[in-house]
Amino acid sequence: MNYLKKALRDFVRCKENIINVILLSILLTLIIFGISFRDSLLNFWDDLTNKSYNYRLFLVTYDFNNITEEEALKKLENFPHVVQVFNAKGLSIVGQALNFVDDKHDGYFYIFGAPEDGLPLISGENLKKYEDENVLICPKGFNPDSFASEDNDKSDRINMESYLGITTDLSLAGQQEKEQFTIVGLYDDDYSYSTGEICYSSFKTVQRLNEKYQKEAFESNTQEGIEVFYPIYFVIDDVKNLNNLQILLEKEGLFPENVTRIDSETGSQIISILTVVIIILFFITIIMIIILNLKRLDEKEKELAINTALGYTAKMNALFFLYESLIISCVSFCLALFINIFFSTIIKRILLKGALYFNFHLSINWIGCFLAFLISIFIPLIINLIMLKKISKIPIVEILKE
Amino acid sequence: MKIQIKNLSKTYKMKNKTIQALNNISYIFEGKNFYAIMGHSGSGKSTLIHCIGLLDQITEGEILLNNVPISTMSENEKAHIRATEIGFIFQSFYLNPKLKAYENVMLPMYLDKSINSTIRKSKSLLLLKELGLETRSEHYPKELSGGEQQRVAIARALVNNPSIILADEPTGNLDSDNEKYVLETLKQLANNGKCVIMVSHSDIVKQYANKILYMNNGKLGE
Ligand SMILES: Nc1ncnc2c1ncn2[C@@H]1O[C@H](COP(=O)(O)OP(=O)(O)OP(=O)(O)O)[C@@H](O)[C@H]1O
Ligand SMILES: [Mg+2]
Repeated sequence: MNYLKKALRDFVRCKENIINVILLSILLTLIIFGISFRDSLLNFWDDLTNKSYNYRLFLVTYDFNNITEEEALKKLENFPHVVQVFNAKGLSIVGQALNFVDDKHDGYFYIFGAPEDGLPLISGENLKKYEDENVLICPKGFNPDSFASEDNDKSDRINMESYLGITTDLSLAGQQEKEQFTIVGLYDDDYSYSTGEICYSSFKTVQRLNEKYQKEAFESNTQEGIEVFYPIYFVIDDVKNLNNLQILLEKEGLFPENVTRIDSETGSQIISILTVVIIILFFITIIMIIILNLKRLDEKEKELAINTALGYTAKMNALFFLYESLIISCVSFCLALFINIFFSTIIKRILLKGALYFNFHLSINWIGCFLAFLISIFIPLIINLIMLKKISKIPIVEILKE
Repeated sequence: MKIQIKNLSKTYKMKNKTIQALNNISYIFEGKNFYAIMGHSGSGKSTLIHCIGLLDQITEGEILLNNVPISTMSENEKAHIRATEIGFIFQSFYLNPKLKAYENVMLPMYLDKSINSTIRKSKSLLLLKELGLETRSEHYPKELSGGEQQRVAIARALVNNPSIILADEPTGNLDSDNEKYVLETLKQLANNGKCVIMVSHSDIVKQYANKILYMNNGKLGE
């Protein structure tokens, strides 16, 4: 007997199924969306810490009376996950790119010291080749302006793609003297916290420039009776457990601090809440499917009793019932998938476009889809297996007397 | 087809009493006969029909279908006999509301895998035509009159060419014209060799049936 064909016909003709499908697909949509959103957030934070040099850059304070700068540098150099250590001289210097001065830009920007191959480049070369040379890695959208701020217009940025490989004159730390710098690479400013006014060069270069142009600024000195010390800096690899690293460092008397703070607390809270919501949704869906099947059995009891009188076995009745359940589930699942694809495209296109500094990629999570598919197939299967008993015990005679 | 009933009893055990729906019935129903079972309400007519139709469990005694005791049959064998040897007609028709007339008639045919769907359809359309429902085959039950619905139900009962027709007050919901039509049809079936057992309250049935049986307090008599 062609159960599937018959079940399909029954499914199409039963108006109650529209409500069943809508209810179920809403729940499945929420599950798929929840898992996708959760996963996208996790990826987003991962990307942030993995790809963005800013989030892997820490400054370290320590008790200057107990530990000297050399000791602190040495300790850090030997620390696991620490890929680069440098003192304040290697951090940054202000430059002015004279070639880029126009009516919107005054040419001022920062040159940050960066690890040799720690920048996510979109074109050009990394710093490894240019240990102590006058090279720059610039943002794709360059904004050399001392008034650059977070809310500035992205359209003000200079598209640097055509400037890759060119050499430009810079004056440094406000000094008259000029040096030539070559732009060797571009990084994706979407992944950094910068507003387009940060370029990178090697630590050695930055250190050399600072020593040359503003050496006196870094000497520990006494200003109005207070001794001024400078922190040291380090860059970590993509270690996941930052807390652990922090605890270990603090044991050594070194107090690290993110130069750019990442709000991982809120992040992990959102993730936990989402996880709980998804689990609750799972249970609601399972209960929904159970209720739905019990309700359907109630509605179909008479039909099944008549079928029995016509010669159908309990197994055939159960199979009919199962096929229709599975069709309801499959249709709901497909609908849920469609809704998810539709809405995530809309969200991507409209809501997230330009709304965030960082690329938040909302993509449909296939594990979420698979899980949703599993519950929409396996729960009805299990329920129907349990129902097989119930179906074979339908009080046919009593129902036929009604 | 011979239905042999031997000392058949059926009791319902309630909390504080037992109800004797069938009380030690012995009788032999045979093909080519139109049996009418009459009797007042609660005398056990439906219960007897359900027992013969293998839908209800019997408490004591035995029913033999062509000399095979039903107590030896598995549920699947019983289902097979219901599908091939027995046709049910009910007072309230019991058509599937979601299926068109011809699809309702096709329902029992799905059980025979050897028939393909075109044959199924043409066979049910032919039967409906014979019952005067040629123009109603595509209608849903709610679009049919009571008499038409019962004719669809009769077609459904006949579609697998069973040798026993069990009809529990099939004319109970029909006007006299439709009642006559149904009774004439059943009489025809009996003449063609089927064993027709029909429960009825109406006296007209006496003009059609060749054996009139009376039930009283679970006992069956002529
Ligand atoms: N499930 C049940 N539990 C208890 N008693 C039952 C049950 N089904 C039927 N009975 C009893 O068995 C007896 C026979 O019932 P049955 O339905 O066979 O009567 P009937 O002759 O068909 O009556 P009617 O003409 O009203 O249809 C009745 O007394 C009824 O109360
Ligand atoms: Mg009755």
